[in-house]
Amino acid sequence: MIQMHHVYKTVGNTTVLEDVSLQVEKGEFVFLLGPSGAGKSTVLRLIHFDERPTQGWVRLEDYNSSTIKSRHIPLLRRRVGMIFQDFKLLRDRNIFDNVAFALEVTGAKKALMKRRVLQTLTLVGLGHLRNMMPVQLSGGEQQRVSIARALVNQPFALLADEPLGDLDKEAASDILQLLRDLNHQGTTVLMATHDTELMETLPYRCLMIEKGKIF
Amino acid sequence: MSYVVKEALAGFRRTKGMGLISVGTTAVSLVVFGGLLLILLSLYGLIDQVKSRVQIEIYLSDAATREQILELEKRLKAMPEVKKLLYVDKEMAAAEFEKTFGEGFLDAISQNPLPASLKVTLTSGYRSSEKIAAIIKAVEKEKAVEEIEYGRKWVEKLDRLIYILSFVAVLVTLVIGAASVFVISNTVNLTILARRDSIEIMRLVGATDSFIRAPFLLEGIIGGSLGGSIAAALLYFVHRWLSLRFPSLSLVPGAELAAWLMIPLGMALGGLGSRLAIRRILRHLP
Ligand SMILES: Nc1ncnc2c1ncn2[C@@H]1O[C@H](COP(=O)(O)OP(=O)(O)OP(=O)(O)O)[C@@H](O)[C@H]1O
Ligand SMILES: [Mg+2]
Repeated sequence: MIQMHHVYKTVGNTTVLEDVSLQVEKGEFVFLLGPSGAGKSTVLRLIHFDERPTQGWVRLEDYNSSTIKSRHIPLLRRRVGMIFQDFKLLRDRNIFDNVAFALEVTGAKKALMKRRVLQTLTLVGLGHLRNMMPVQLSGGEQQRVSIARALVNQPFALLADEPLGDLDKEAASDILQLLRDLNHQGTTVLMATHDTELMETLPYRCLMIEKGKIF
Repeated sequence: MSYVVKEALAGFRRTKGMGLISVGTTAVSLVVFGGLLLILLSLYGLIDQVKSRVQIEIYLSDAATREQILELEKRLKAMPEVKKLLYVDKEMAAAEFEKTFGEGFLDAISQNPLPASLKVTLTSGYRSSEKIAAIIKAVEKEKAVEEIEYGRKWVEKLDRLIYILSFVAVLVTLVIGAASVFVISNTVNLTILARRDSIEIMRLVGATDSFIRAPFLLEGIIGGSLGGSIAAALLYFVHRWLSLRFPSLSLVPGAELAAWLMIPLGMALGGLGSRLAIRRILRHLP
């Protein structure tokens, strides 16, 4: 379960989030919808514990931002998949190693790692690009690598920050279908987007955010 | 484990020239540091060698009996400071005198005026004026002793030189040592800083600090040992060449050891530099 409780986030003098409270149940698929600069990424970063709230608290399963020890944060991040808006790929290693890294940190066995990485890359349609370096890939392909890395650990929750942003129509609907399938199998999905069309066509709950406030 | 090794080696490939610069900087710093150390050690050796020529000459009284002289010899031989003892009797003294000043001088005098003497050579490490004074004090009251002489001025000068040299050695070790640490850690810092983004991303996908740190540490240690090895080899061969070319310099034996010391020193510096650099980055990440 994901929960934010009266969260404020200020950076310097600017208030990025103001009194944000939200809750996403286990197994739910929820859109976080809002215009550019509304604070969607900030919400996801707070849930991923990349940032801490200025006021209020964030909870993810048993982890609470007000009590968590910093040495536990890596453990949390291994169980939650984050699809970063800016991909955050390791420029200095190839696609296979980028995806494998998320398993490497858990101390997974080599054979299992290899099998899982190849499966996941195939799932996002990138099996053939595994030996390429990130700079050699298009934006959309890099985005799918980032998605593969988020999935490879079989996380119980997915935080997806504009996961379809750089994809063409066809790839976008493929990835969306992939996320929906995972959700069917029990994965909680919180997806930030500014695409109102999605909300209208899909039967999922939608949280509206604007200027740092949830409506 | 294999991940750490693989990553550490890949690190050199990824940073391209930077890794080489790091190794080069380490090598240069350690050559300077080790070279100065070797020069200082050699100077020590040189001074000790000069001092080894210092002898104490104990002139024996003509009235001394055989027993008294033997007793004196026994006492001197028992001292750890005494390395060699040479008895020069009156005839040998005269012969030596004639060799230096020419024959005929002594013929004018009916009696041989030159006293018999004991020449004392000192053990290395006991060649300071205090030690010499102690020896003199111990035996000057002996009946057989007429007079004791040694190159006092010389010994005192050399003592002062050793004192100054020790001071310079400590100073140089501290200053050059600190400068090496500074330069090496800064270069390592640059190579790690270049991968700051990667480190941040590693954190974001669930890597613990120790997991991130390990390959960088190993990379630093490998780089440091490479730099140290280059420095050691260079110092060793220069030292060897010098001691073959100028045998009279008689550079301290075992000085090569100081050269090889640069390898563990490089390793330690490389590891430490990496550790500090990585800590600086990790501390500033969310
Ligand atoms: N570290 C920061 N320093 C200053 N301002 C920040 C910082 N982080 C976020 N902001 C501000 O907070 C606001 C929300 O940022 P955020 O990235 O969460 O928006 P977003 O909804 O994800 O936008 P987009 O759809 O463009 O990705 C923006 O106006 C941004 O300038
Ligand atoms: Mg955003």
